[in-house]
Amino acid sequence: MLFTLSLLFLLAFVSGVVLDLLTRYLPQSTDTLVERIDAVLPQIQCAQCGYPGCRPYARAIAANEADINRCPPGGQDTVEALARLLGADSKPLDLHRATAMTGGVAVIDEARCIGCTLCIQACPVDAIVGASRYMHTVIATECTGCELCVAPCPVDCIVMQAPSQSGRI
Amino acid sequence: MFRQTKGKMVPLHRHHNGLAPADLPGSSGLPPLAIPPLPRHLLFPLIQSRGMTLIPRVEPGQPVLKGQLLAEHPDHPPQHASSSGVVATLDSLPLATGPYLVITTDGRDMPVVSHLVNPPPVLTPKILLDRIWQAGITGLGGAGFPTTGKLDSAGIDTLILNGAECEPLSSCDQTLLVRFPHRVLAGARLLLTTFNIRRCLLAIEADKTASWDALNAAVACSGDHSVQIVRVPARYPAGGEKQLIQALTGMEVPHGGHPQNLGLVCLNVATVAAIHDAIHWNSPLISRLVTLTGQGIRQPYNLWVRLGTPISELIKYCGGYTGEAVRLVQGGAMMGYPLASDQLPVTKSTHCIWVGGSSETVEVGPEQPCIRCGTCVDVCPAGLLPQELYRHTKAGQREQAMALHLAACIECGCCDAVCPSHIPLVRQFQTAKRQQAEWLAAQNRANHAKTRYQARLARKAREEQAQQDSARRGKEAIQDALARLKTRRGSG
Repeated sequence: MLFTLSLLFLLAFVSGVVLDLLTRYLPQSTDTLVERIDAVLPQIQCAQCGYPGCRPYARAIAANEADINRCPPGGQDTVEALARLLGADSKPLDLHRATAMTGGVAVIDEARCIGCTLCIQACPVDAIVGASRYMHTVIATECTGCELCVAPCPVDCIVMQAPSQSGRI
Repeated sequence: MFRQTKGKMVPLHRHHNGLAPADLPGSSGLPPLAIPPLPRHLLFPLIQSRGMTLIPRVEPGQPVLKGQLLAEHPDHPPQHASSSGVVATLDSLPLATGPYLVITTDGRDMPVVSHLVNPPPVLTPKILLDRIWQAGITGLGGAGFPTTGKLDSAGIDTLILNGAECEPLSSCDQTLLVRFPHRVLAGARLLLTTFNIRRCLLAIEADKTASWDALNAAVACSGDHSVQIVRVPARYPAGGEKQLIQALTGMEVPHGGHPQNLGLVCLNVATVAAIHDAIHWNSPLISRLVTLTGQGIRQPYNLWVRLGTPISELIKYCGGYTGEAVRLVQGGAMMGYPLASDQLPVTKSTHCIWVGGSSETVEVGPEQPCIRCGTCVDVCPAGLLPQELYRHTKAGQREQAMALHLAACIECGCCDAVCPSHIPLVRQFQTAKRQQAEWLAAQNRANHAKTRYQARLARKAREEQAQQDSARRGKEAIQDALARLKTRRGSG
């Protein structure tokens, strides 16, 4: 009886020590929740959630700092997916920060571009090529349609076009 | 099971499930071959099967010759004019999606003069692939993928020529094999010698005796036995690529895999004949055989059609519609899809036009709940679980449907045909497959954007670091200079 008990205690102690050591020395994956939230988000990087990109928003959700209904491009489907992932209640999409997005591709009117590089700095996915005082252009296949380049343009030469018109497959 | 083919034995492997010919809509024998007259207009859709839009290389009002390049795309073989005439408009048809190139024919049928020497004096794989691409050849079996994509892979061991008609009502491949076996065999030999392929099997269904006789006569006539003619059991869908490969070689193409991974290339016989025409006759792909059948037309035909001919012209040639005609279907009774209008043209992937009569189209009873009888599992030639796929797709459970290989469904309609509850399974799978493909494309786009966003963040961090470093170095340089000055003053 005593032997059995002491054996059990010994086993429990040894496994406790081993587990403790493992958690200390194995690489920790604290970001898994952020990763999983990030995977649900549409990666438009439009910043309409109030965070500078999808990953910062994912981090904010994981830290319980932001609501799950702040992604207008993802729509209600993304809210539902986030609710399922986090075991939270679904809620209607919060549109008060949203701008009307066309879901298209940005196109620069190259004749009017003055080469100010402001749109290049605004693009979250480096989809605009060009240099200072040279014409810029959008790589249509890389553009997510976030429209962040439209507002900074001083000569209003950027318009959004439907994807089929601009040659994206 | 063994079949005798010129001394060599080709063992046939356990055949897949599917349906016996008795369970299928009746075949009408082999309709006669004919060439319809030149139509007034030829229509070429610019949007291709994979959503790509060909870029036109002709202007409205420009005269074109037969065989002249009309439109091309870096990722899709080009389209050529199938007769001479004038480009009318780059217009949209009222019923079709996307732009069309329309040619008003001039009746002279003047061919373009080519600068290419045919057959090429030296035929390397690269030259052959280039010629196949330039001739605008896509798979003529129905899917319409570029043929060069299949031949491009290294280490092809076996070439399989698919002469087993998938659709029970379609007989254009059979007509080709009976009437023009030499073109198919010569095309196959071109591929065999150029790509150094060891073995070539030409599969036909066991009940197609006319093709068997014609092919064997052609082989005997040429004295070249490099192409083996093999008969496979006539079981729908014998002509499905993966099903045919399994019947001939015993190898199963994994879900999501390609036959090329197993050292196999499977081509439709009409595609091989088109390769022959391109190399030996210098003719791009501008015509094809199309079966017109069904009780809705007066005289069924296998027509040698110029691409771009409106289907209404073909129906007119067949004597017009009978009073019974109720459905116009492209692709045949089992796997076809209804056409919105007979004004649509014949494209490279049109192999059968079925005009269903009222007595042919079975009135399907009202849909009942699934009773989980499992009959659909028994017939599914792709080895899937249709009743489970139905359950998951209906409930919108994407992951489960994907895990059960929804994408491997070939939409053959066997499950529909046997379902005692009359559930339209294939229609459900088609919708679900489209949604899944869209979802995967969106997912790919999102991952791509994510990578680029992260790369941009990394770049900005690097730039900031570099700026700080240079600022620090500047400060250090000033301090160094001050220190030097101080020491000089101290010493001076």
